[in-house]
Amino acid sequence: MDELTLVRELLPDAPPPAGPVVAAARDRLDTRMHGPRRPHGQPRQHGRPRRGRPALLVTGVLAAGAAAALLAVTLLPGGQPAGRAHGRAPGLPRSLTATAARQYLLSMAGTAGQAKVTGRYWCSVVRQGSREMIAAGNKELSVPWLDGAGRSPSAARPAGFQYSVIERSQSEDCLEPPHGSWPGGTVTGYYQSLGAQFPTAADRAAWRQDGSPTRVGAWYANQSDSFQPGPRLRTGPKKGWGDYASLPADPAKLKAELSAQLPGRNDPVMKMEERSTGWSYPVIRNDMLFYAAVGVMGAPVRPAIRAAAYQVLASVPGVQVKPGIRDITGQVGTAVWLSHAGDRAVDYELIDSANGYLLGDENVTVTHLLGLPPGSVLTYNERVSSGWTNTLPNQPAR
Amino acid sequence: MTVTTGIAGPPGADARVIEKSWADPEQFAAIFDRYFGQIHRYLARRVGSKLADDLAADVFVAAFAQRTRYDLDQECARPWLYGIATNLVGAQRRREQRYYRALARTAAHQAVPPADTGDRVADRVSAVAAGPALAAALATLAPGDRDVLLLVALAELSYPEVAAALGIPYGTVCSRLSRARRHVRGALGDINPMHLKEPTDG
Repeated sequence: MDELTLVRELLPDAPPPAGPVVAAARDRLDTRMHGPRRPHGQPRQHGRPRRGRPALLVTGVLAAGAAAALLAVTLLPGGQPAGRAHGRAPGLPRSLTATAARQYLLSMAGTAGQAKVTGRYWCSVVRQGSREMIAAGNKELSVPWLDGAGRSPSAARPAGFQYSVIERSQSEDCLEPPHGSWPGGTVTGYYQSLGAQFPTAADRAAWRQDGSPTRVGAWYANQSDSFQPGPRLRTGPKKGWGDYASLPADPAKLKAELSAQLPGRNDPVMKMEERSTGWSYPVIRNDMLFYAAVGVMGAPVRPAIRAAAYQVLASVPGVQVKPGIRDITGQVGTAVWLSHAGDRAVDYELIDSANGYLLGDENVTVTHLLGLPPGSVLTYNERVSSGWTNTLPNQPAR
Repeated sequence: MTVTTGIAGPPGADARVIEKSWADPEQFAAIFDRYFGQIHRYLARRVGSKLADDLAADVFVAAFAQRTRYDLDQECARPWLYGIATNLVGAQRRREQRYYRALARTAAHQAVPPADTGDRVADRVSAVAAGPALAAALATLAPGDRDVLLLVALAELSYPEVAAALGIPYGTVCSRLSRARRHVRGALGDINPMHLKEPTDG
C-alpha cells in the first residue's frame, strides 16, 4: 500500500451530502444568482446578510437582469468614495428620528402611488462594481467575506494586501409586463464587463509598484480581471414575470405575503444565517422583510404595489432614514437602511423622493475594515437610466 | 427544487455553461448540480462534514461571483472548483489541522471497516496501524504540499489538473507531491515497510 492509498483509507469517502445541506447550499446560490441588485456576481453581504429574499423576488423577471429595475450609485470617476456633500455617510448617527423616518416612508408611499406607467417597456441601464483586493505578485486575496460567504471580517489589512481594484460591469434590460398571451419578462437584455478600475490614486500607485500588470487578480488557476471592457453579451429575451402580477396592493396583505415566503425558524437557510451572523431569528427575519419590501419597491410593479411596499417598509422596526445623500453623478437621494449593533459596513438604498423610485444602493464601510478606511465603497449599483418607454434599444452586432 | 449531487452531462460543456452564465446567471445552477456532491465529499474528507456543509456552499457562491473570469479554454470546471475549495480550506487551516489531530487520536477506530474482503482488508489493516501517525503527518505537512497530496489522493485529479486548480506549474505539483509523500513515509517509520509500495511519481 502506498501513501496515497493510506491517506484515502484514513480519510474515508464521505456519504453524499444530506438533502437539506444541498438544498441550503443551492438556496444560497439561487439567492446570489437571482438577487435583484446583484445578479452578476457582486458581493451582497457586507454589513449584514441579504440572503433569504422571498421566493417571489427570485423568480422570473428579476432573475437575469431585471436588477436593472433597481439601481444605484457611488464611485467617483477618479476613484474616490462617493461624495456626500449633503451629509455624513449612512451608518453614522441618523438625522431623522424613528417617527420622522416612518413619516417619510409613508409620505413616499403616497408619492410612489401617484406615479404613472408611461410606456410599454421598463428599460434600465445599471452599472455595478465590486471591490477586489490584490496581493503582491498580482494575486487576488481570498476574502470569503467579500464574496458573501458570511465570515466575520477583520479590521486589519489582510496579509499581503497591496491594492484594490473595482471590478465593473453593466446590465441593460427592457422588461415588458404580461399582456394577452405574453407572460411577461425580459424582452431585451445585455451584460458587459466594463473592466477593472482603481478606487484611489494610491491603489493605482501600488499597482505600478507591482509591475503594472495588464490583468490583475487570480486567487485560483489563472483567472484574472482585465482593465479592458469585455464583449456585450445578449441575455434576453427571457419569459417569466414571477409573482409580480399577483402581488397585492393592500399593504397588510403584501406584508403577509412577503412574510409568508421568508424561511422559517428551522429552515436550513435560517440556520446558516444564524451561524454566519450571530443574530437571532427575529432579527434575521426583520432584515429579510426589509429587503423583501425593497425588492418590490425596485421592481417594475404597478405604482400601487410600490406604494404598498413603502408602507411595509415603514412598519419594519429600526429602519434608518437620512436625506441629502449625494452620489457621484450628482444625484441626491434619501438613504434608507437597517442598522445592527456592530455593523462595520452599511448597505443602503438611495431613494428618489420625487417619484419613489430607487436610485440605487451602495455598500460602504463605516469603520476601519480589512485595512480600508471608513467610507470605502465595497460594492455599488449605479443607475445610468431607467424608466418606462415605448422604444427598445438597438440590437448590438454580435 | 430538484436536488442532484452527482455528475450530469459532459464536463466538456462546463466552459460553455459558464460562458452562458455570464449573461444568464441561472445557467450556473447546472455547475452546482453537476459538482456540488463531489466538492462536498472532498471537503468532508478534509475538514469533516460539519464544516464542509458551509464551505461547499461557499465554493459555489465564490465560483459564481468569479465566473466572468473563468478561463474558457478550460472545458472542464472540475479543477477550477477544486482550486476554489482548496483555497477556502486554506482559510480554515487551523481548523483543518485540529481535525487531523483529532483524527490522530481516534484514527484506529475510524479506519476499521464494517465489512470488506481481500486486498482491501489488508489496506484497511495498514491504514488502521498507520492512522495516528498518518493523521499527525497530515497535520504537520506544509500547506501547499498537503493541498497537492489531497487533491491527488482524495479528488483524484491528474497532475495537470492539480496545476490548473492551484495555479502552479506542473513541475511544482510533482515536487510538492514528492515532498509530501516523503514526509508521510517518514512519519510512518514504525509501520511495517512490507505494507508499503514504492511511490510512482509522475
